[in-house]
Amino acid sequence: MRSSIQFILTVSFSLFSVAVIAMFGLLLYDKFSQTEEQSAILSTQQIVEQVSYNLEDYVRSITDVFRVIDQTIQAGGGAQSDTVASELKAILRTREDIVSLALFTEQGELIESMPRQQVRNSMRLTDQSWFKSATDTPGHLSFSLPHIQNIYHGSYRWVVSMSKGITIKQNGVTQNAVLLVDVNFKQIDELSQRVSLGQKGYVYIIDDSAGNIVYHPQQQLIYIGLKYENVEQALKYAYGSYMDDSTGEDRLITIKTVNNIGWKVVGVSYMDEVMTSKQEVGDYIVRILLLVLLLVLIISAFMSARISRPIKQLEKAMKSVERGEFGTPVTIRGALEVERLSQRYNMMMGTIKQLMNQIVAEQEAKRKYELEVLQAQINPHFLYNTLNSVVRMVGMSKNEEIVKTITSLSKLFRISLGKGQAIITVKEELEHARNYLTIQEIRFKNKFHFTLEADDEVLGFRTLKLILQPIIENAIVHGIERMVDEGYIEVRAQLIGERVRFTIKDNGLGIDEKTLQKLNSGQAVGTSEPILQGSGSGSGAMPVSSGSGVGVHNVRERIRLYYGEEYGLTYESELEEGTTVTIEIPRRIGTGDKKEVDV
Amino acid sequence: MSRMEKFAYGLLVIIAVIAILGIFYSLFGSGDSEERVDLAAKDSQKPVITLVLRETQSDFWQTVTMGAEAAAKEFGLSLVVEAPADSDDISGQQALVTKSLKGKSKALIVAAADDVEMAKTVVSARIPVIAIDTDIEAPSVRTFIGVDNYEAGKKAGEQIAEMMSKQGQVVILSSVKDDRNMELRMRGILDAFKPESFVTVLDNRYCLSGIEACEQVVQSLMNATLVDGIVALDAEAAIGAGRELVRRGEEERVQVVAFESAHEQLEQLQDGVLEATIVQNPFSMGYLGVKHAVEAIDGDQIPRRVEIPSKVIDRENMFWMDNQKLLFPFVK
Repeated sequence: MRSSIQFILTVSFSLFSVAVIAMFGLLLYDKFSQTEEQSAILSTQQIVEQVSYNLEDYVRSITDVFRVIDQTIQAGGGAQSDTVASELKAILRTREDIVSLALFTEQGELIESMPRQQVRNSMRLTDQSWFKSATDTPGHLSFSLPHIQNIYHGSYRWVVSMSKGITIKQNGVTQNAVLLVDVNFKQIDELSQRVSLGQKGYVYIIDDSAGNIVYHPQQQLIYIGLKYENVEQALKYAYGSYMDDSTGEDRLITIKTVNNIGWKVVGVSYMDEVMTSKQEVGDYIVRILLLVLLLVLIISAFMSARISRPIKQLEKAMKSVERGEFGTPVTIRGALEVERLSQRYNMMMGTIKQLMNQIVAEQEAKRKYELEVLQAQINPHFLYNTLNSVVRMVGMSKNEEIVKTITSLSKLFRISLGKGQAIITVKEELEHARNYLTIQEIRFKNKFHFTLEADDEVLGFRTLKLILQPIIENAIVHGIERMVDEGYIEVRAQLIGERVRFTIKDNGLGIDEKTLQKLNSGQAVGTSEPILQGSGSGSGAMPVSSGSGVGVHNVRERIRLYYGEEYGLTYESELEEGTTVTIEIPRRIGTGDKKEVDV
Repeated sequence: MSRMEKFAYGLLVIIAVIAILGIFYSLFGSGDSEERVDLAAKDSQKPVITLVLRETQSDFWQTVTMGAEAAAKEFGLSLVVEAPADSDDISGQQALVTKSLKGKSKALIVAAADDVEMAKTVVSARIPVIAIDTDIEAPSVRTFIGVDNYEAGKKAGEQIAEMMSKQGQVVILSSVKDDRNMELRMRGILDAFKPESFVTVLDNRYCLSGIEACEQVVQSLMNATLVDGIVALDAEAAIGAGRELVRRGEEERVQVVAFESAHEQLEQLQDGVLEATIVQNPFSMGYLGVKHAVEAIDGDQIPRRVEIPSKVIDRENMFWMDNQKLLFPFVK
């Protein structure tokens, strides 16, 4: 199935453009999304780092407060003295987030607490984790996980307990003690709660050592088992980012360790949120792609129509030529190539028209000359004259000559009428000429004589009928008839290269220069007009009643039409010396030649 | 034009049309993306879910709200929380539900003050209705999320029977009457006592007007007979009973098992006045309510009942990590 140019252009152009745009879009999208992802990771990291710095700051500040409290107590030799108590009170007033401080003996008995609160007598302090860690590593400050402060009556608050095993002098006795400072967890809680990584993202804090959750926005759901947080994985990292899909969603986990307190801040951001801008970029690219696609479709449709329209017009014009309408020239506007094509087409049409006219003219001419030849075959004047001379000879009882004449006449007619063929052999043509010359010789009472010579090899070739006889007739009528001396006509047929050449030579009056020129140029002398030989053109007024009626022009034209421009006949003549006519035709054998069957 | 060409041209035309539509769409879409910058505008585009509670003041309902908000954040919703001023204002709550059913809410989550009345209100609801805390018997109610109060009652019964060494006289005390949840708890307790032939249920007592009323009920009861154990069906009853026991100095002898986890209850628990309390997980209730509401909006199949296990808290385990967060949900 063949497709039209318009179709091919539209489709291929569209496909090509779409492919290019799609590829470009894909590359762009890829690049964009990569950058987007990186910047998302980076910003998450920055946020998590910020949180961890804030936490670190906070831890440092409460550590400082703890140190000051510690120093105050140690310097004062215990917390009981009023100066120490007032100093501690002052410290506590400056820090709202410190819920309470307390000093315990190693056995878990309360030495001093601030603000003064009653410790629940049911409490087993020594079992508390902050107490244990203080007594286990004295002199080392330890932080507890956030827990409910449960040693005092009155309130339950979430606190982080800072505890340290110290030595104090009490009443001059040095003894070990545990200093406890409870810091409200609210500040850390709020700090962590405020952070949001996207719509759904969050941060949580875990304890470095055991992986306990310090803060998690959905802590309760995790405890009840509705949510899962991959803490084990997070524990392996001190700092960095990784992808996690343990909850069924792609999440970016970013971890930063908080110094001094042993906690890790873990940022969780959801990749589908990070990718929303990626989605937007994708949407945008798709939008552009659609727009360009539309433009390409319009442009390619328009362009291909523009290209194919003149071609279609040309096709239409050719169709009208097919129907035989040659007249209308094609005027097509379009691309340069197409305009040239239409110009060439017009020129071609002109040539074809000209050639057709020429063929028509040639055909007409051929017919005309053929008709003339046909007429000449049964020229009544010639017959009349010949029969007249036969009658005359009968009167003179010239039996031998009568027989000769009649025989020649009959042969003449047999050849010239023939089988109605236009082409005969050279032998037959020569035979025809011989019969004609014989009849004329007798008629003109041996006023001239003739010779006929032919190379054997030419006899078999084919030639147009009746090309020698008109020339011989001319030679007799114009050259010899009015001559005083005895005339002489020599007819020769030779093979010259690829051509058969006939020469008809007489020693008659000759032809004057002017007429000769006209004869050789083959234009001026009409067929109906006899060729005038002899000295004066005035004597030519007499019509040649004995002529065959077929003129030199007829012979020349017929040769030209059958054999082409390069063949024909030439006159050579000199006044009072004679004339030589040379006829040249191509050598052709047999009837197989198309040209011969043609007419 | 060949058939193939016709087909191909048709295809091109279709592509062109799609392209045009895409461009038009993106023109409108780009308008949206500009609005997207405005966070408030984005909030208004989120689907709205309404949560109607019994009240908003108590820790319990605040924790429910907290859980619901956590889920709303996670699923990208806009949550509207409503509640009548008084937890027993049945008609006020019905009005709120009717209002939100008419509004643009995509789903409704209800903690009904009265399940029978609420069933009448939500029966014609076109949006998914989700019952939390109290089940509602209505065809439009897609799921119930809460504690199985019967099971919780059984737990409480078993606890107190254990503590009384399976013998003695028990009072069941409640501060409200005709409450579906309370009735279920009661039945659970009674069923738990059935195999214990030495446990005698003295009476079902209702103290209808607060802690002091409960104190007086316990006082008059203990003045009259010997009480070995008290099951308090709610916080007010528990606190009232605890106070009376401390006043009498009988907190060691009399065993008390309660429900809920009010502040004073926890103090009593730590001081040994209360022996145990059965607690729910309100955070999960709120969270699951919203989560299942989202699933219902999306047309997912959701179970008719979602049970949140109740937990027995005693003096030993009350300061465990996970229980701390359950009992003290707020960082103050």
